[in-house]
Amino acid sequence: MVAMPEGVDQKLARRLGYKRVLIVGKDVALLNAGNDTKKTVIYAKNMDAVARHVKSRDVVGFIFDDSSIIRKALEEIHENGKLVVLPLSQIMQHDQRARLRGIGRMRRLLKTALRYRAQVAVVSLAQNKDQMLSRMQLSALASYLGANDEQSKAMLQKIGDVV
Amino acid sequence: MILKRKLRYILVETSRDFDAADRRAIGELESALMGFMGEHQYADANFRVATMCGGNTFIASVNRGAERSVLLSLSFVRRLGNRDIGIYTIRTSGTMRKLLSECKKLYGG
Repeated sequence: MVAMPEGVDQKLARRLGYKRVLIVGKDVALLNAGNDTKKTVIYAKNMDAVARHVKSRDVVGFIFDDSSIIRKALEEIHENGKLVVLPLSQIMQHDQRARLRGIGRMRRLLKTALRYRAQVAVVSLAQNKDQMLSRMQLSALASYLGANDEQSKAMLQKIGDVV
Repeated sequence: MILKRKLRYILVETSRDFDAADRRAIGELESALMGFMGEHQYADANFRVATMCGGNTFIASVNRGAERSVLLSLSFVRRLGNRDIGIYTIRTSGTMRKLLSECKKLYGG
């Protein structure tokens, strides 16, 4: 899943190992990104956002900023078959300190999500061509954050399966 | 006795032109990798650009067992010199021949 309004070069996507690339605003909407008939991923800043949208049929998953929210929300997310979406663009920053903070936060999120047996999807959420990652890289990054090989492969499929 | 070095080869594509013959470009990539991996791991990995496949594609060789850390570190490289860059790892293989044929198939070179 990428956030590139100009779209993706399909040949490049094939080389990177993807059958399909989901584009934010076209295939998937982020909350407040427009059309509500699309499948939507919600940026959940607090519990209210989860409670409000978790039962919606169009919502496929949630992006979290904080692992303390996730504990409270996971039960509901799990019951309703929604995904916990990890955007790896957050750990791909130039600034070393920001990157390390992001990695720590993402590891905690993933650990908590896996402990509660939530379904997790990793996406690049690339905003331009430079931020794109191949399937192999996404899988390696998921393993680096704490998933085992089997889990990391499954995490690549999840969002494509539901959208 | 012939000592055989076991290597893994990685097919790498960059989002912008990358000239592996340019020592400065290679130096920038190597120091970025060293920053992510640390000197110790970097020395163990023995990262080398083996051959160029096109304007923005090359094959890198690394010691077997180090491919995962090199792959991760390449993913984190977002800038070389003053330019933003994206580095994609397309395939890994145990032989260069396999990657060269893969390269022909993908890029038609």
